[in-house]
Amino acid sequence: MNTTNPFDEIEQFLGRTPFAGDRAWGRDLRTADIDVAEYDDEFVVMADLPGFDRDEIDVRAHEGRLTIAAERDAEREDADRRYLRRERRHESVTRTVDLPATARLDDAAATYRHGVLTVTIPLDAPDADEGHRIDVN
Amino acid sequence: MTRRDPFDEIEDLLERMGREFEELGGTLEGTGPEVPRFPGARDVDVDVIEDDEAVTVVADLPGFDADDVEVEFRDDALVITGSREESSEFEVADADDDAGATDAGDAADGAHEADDEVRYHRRERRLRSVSRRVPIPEPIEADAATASFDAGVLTVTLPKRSSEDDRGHTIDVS
Repeated sequence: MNTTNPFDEIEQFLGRTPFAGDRAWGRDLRTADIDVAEYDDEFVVMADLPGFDRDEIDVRAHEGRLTIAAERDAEREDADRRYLRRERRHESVTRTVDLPATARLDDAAATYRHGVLTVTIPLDAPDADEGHRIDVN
Repeated sequence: MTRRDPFDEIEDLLERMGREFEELGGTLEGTGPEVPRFPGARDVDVDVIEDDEAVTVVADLPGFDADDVEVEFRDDALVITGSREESSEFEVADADDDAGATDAGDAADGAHEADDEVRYHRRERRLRSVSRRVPIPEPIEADAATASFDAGVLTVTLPKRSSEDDRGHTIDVS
């Protein structure tokens, strides 16, 4: 892996101070904001991905992890076109979420509406996967 | 790629922090009671792009309908507001009113219990009404402004006022 820049870490530290919240100075522009909710029978991931087309969004599950990746063409910037502010997230965004072992990936569904991606994954009944129970005599 | 001077990056960082603080001042005047928050806790991320003809403001408003978004130009600033019902997305109504501010921290630490039925592992998205005031540094033609909203992104184009208007009436020198 590439070496980390110490100043990135300062930024990250500043971004993580308790009074700054998640969206502060050091906020990572390469990830999306997500909600992850687990219901009894369903696992729901919602990701803010404003400004993408459906076919620019890639959702895949692999080895118990769900990866959301979105990529769009970079905005051009040239002499005639100057950014006075640039806060919006990068053209390329990825985010990974751990899935519960009971996730039924074959029945997962994803929708994209108003810049929000919603991935819904049904969950099997939890007891099936708790491991083998051994009686104590 | 060229290797960056680390001191540039410190400068960058300081400059950005300064901008955040300056923006806090900007936000305080423009919006409702929930605004006095922390520096950097921005509601709406914007890009502001200037070219020869116009100043374009691009704002991320994921999850809003076009009907929920309002744009107004006043006092040399563009005010963008997105409003929605608290409960429009899954069971948000159950959350405390000030949950948003603290949740970001909680969520980062991992599992977060919400109620009996739902367990939130992460809760980073903003689900409440948002607003942002963006100062526009150039004189623009507010009447000729256009706006579009697509895939959660608002784009407002503010044509610049032509330089003749700016300087007043031109008188030919003969």
